[in-house]
Amino acid sequence: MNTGESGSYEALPLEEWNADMQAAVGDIRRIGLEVLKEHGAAGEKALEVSKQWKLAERQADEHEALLRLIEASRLMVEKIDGAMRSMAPDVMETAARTIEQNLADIEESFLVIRHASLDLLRWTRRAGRIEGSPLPGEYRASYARLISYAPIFKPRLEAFQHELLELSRQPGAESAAPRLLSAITRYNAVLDSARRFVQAIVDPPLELVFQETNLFLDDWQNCSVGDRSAMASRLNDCCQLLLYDKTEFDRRTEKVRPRLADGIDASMYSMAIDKGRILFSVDEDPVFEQLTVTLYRLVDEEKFADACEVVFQVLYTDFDPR
Amino acid sequence: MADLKPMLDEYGIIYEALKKLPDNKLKVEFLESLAELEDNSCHRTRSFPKTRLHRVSGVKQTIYRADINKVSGWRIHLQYDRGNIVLKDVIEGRRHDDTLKIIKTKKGRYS
Repeated sequence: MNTGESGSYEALPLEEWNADMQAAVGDIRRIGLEVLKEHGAAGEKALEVSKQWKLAERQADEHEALLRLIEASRLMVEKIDGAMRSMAPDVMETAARTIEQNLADIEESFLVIRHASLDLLRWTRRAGRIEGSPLPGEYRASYARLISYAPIFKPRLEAFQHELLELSRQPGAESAAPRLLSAITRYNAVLDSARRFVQAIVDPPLELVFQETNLFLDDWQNCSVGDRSAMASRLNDCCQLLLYDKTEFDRRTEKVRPRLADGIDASMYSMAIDKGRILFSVDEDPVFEQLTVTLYRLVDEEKFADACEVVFQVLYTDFDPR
Repeated sequence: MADLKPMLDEYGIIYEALKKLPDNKLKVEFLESLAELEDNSCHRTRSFPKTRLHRVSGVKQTIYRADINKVSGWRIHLQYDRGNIVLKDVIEGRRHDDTLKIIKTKKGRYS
């Protein structure tokens, strides 16, 4: 607890946290393997899709990535804890450096984990579906433990950030405080995104569904196989963010705002992509429990405005401003 | 008693539809569409064979479109409010434009 004086923070429960995280990662692995085995018995199609999606290999990758993620987090949290309690410039510098060095590893591991876990759960809802199986629920619950310490760590980190901000504003302040403040701010942003992702696993949002229109398919088929594969990957990475990190989705896309009747707003976005720009809409559909991404056009940047006009004329006939 | 979903017509859409729809066949079909929308079993199974109920794409407000008659293009706009269906508009039929027809649907990941 911060008593208002520098260096007077109570130590974070790091040993307990580390032991719980290792146990959670072990459980995720164990339950993930059970899911694969039990749901693989749903039928031939289940096994076929499991092989096609390389679920077994990706479960192993998920485990490795979770271990790397916990280790990188441990290194960072230990140094932050040290800096909180000593407030010495050299300790703060070391903490800032440790965060800077490990953040990229966390983000990379997070990507592997995200794809593997979401695909495993998706498989249990489709080819590997077994009515009434408790395993997907258990797998989700084991993920929930990864964020169980957030209510303890987060308020203390925020108090520390506040103190670093005060220190940074003092005349003749050491450079260590602003550097650490900036590193912790970035660390918090990454962890917030990770927490939202885990929350999305635990309490699944609407299912993401992609719809292709006539025009988009024509544009898409004019691209080479290699380009299509790279663009699909970028499109997936961006749209998966809709499930747990809308801020990052907004950063990667631009809103497109046609003029519509009063009380009606467009849900149109564009995303720059290697070979031009994609025009798409994102629509929540609570009746069918899905989040629908409808793809309208993929065109060169200079043709984009004209392409939009054609789409809007057809799409918004019922909502034209009168 | 059939399991029904409450339907609100606070904008007088039924009145408007019966004035605007050009013939009795369409008026009967309008009633059939309302009956399907009211049927809670259609909502439970998410199957709307008559009205082909679907979310309007490209619009932030959660508006749904239901066919009165597929060929003529006459349709109903509606929204949901706390479990109730709220009728919003009846839209005149026009020539069908296939420019933005949905060709494929892919769940989960684009490939």
